[in-house]
Amino acid sequence: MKKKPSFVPKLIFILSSLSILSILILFFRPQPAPQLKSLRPKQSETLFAHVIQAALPQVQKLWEEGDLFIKKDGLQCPDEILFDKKVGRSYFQCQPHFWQCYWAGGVKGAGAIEVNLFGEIFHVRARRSFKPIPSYSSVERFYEIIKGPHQEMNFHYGVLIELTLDEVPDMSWPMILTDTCRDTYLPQRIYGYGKRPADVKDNGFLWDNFDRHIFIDKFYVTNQMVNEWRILSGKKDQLIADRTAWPKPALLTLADQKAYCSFWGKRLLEAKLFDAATMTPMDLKNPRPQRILRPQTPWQRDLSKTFLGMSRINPDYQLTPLDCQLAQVQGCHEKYFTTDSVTWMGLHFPLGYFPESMENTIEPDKNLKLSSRFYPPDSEVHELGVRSSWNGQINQELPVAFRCYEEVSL
Amino acid sequence: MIVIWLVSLLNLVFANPSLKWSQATQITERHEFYANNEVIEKPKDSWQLLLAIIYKDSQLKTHKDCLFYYVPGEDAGRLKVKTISVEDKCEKYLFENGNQEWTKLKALQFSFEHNYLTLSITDEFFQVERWDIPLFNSYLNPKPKLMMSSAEYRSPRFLFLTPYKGRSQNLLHARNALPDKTLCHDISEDCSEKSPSNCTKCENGWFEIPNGCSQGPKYCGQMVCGAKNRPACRRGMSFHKQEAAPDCRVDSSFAYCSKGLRIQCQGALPYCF
Repeated sequence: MKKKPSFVPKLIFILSSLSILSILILFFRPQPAPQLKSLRPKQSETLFAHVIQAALPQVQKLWEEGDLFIKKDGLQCPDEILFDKKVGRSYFQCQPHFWQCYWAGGVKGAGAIEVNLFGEIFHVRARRSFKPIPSYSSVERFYEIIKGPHQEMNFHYGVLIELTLDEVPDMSWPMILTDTCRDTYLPQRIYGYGKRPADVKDNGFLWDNFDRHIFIDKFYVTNQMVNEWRILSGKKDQLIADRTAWPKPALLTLADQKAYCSFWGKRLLEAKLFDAATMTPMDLKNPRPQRILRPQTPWQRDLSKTFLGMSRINPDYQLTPLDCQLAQVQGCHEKYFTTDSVTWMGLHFPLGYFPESMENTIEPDKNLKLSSRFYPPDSEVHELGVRSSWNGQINQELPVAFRCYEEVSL
Repeated sequence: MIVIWLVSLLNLVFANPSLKWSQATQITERHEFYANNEVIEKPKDSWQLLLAIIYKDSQLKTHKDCLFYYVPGEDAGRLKVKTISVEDKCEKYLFENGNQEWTKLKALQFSFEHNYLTLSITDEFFQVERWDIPLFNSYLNPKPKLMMSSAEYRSPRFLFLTPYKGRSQNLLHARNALPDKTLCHDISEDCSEKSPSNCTKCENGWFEIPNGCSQGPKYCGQMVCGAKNRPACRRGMSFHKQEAAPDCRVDSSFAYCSKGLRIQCQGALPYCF
């Protein structure tokens, strides 16, 4: 009689196979990468350097995006900087007075920058190491504006600060913050100057900026910026003390406008650069197009399709909030540092707002962009390439703003 | 990158020069024959300059540390650091005592890349001490692009000075800007660059006299181009009618003058009359 095959060997085989498979799976299972555990340095100097480095992204955010730290209640720094709904939040970016206000405790809920490192929370602060500016207040400051360059440190405008660490109180790390908010790059391509020529076949005046690195101020130069220049130039008696005037455009003579720009290694904006920055190219990907168009506004090639064109046809046209965001013309509410009106390359206030002075190397007499909040929307001054003449003197009836540009040659 | 820096900072000891060197703005006078990470063995029993480190102290004053190494032979190796004025050349101090010295060394290796300096020192007991020094102020200028600021293009967001202990320092603000009229970018008539541009050091900006090359000669100061008796303005590189090297007398379309004026060439340079 045949013996019935036993189930045991089969079971042993199955169990062994499963065991081997499990071992293999365990061996080849994806393992989490070993984590780099850094030890708390024993030397206080090393710990200090380590924590400050780790805090830098937060320091950078506080400097470059100060507006994000302002809650609904605004600021409590009457000696330093005022919170005003007419002033856009860009004013608080790369803004030394906001830096002072924050560290002096004027921002609700503000305090030390907390860094979580080595399983501990460290506290980084700015140090009040710098002399007071008596015209502003008698308290020592958390920064000092300095002018570059300094031996291989390549900057024009620097804000010197010192960072400390609560946990290593005897050390301080001085460093310079640069102004990364002020200007913006003009891409290299062929550009046109002036109004659209009457003859369609005429390309008008063309130029290009290949092999040139040109950066244009995004906003007008303000009274606060001019105050910094005057402090560094030893003209403290000419400071504007009224804090409400600080975000407003500085109204200087043409000579002073040029002197201001030159002090920071820059030049007064040129008319052809203004046109390049405000006339949106037809094809951004092609830097050498066959035809260069001259749009009449930064947002629409034909002015007739914009509220400016409609105002010319319809004398009863009612301005909308959106119109005033595009160009602050007569009838719009006053607002400064708004980011609503921006061109293709990041320049603000291409039309409307303030009359703007500029150097014109092509037609020297046409040195003023007249389009501004002082002219009604149906005025013919509200068109790109339309320019007037300014004698360079301050005139209360015609306040003239300005901005600078810089060509960087490394 | 920051993690690497942070890890390497663990090795920093304030007593050694690593922390101040990490604020270096420039590494110069590097020995031309010693390759990165190569054990320095030749020429035996001689002092060699490895490199010089230029850095700012907490008062914005610039210093230069020269690193000299005595290559071991019959005598043991030595490393010395001599701090000198930035205008001075290190080689003058080759045989002078250093401000800091490390003696009885068996070997030394070093390497320098654009933002990292490493020194590896082997002592008489074959114990190796390694200094990993991240160079915080070292910066590779990015290619400029839409929405980039000039500050981002020219330098890092933070420029570090040397940390200090104790009381607040009185900051000195000695600057080294170039005065007006200095030739800050020397370009010859055949478009070759005689010396690199240092126009960013100009006190009051700079201006270019276009010569039809992609870069024209540049001077410190302010000047409005295109006016009467002034150099013409640069129009650009797209307007050449000729392929060959530019010559103002043949084709001056790379420049323009203000309305009503005409270009006249003075040598290779266009002026407005």
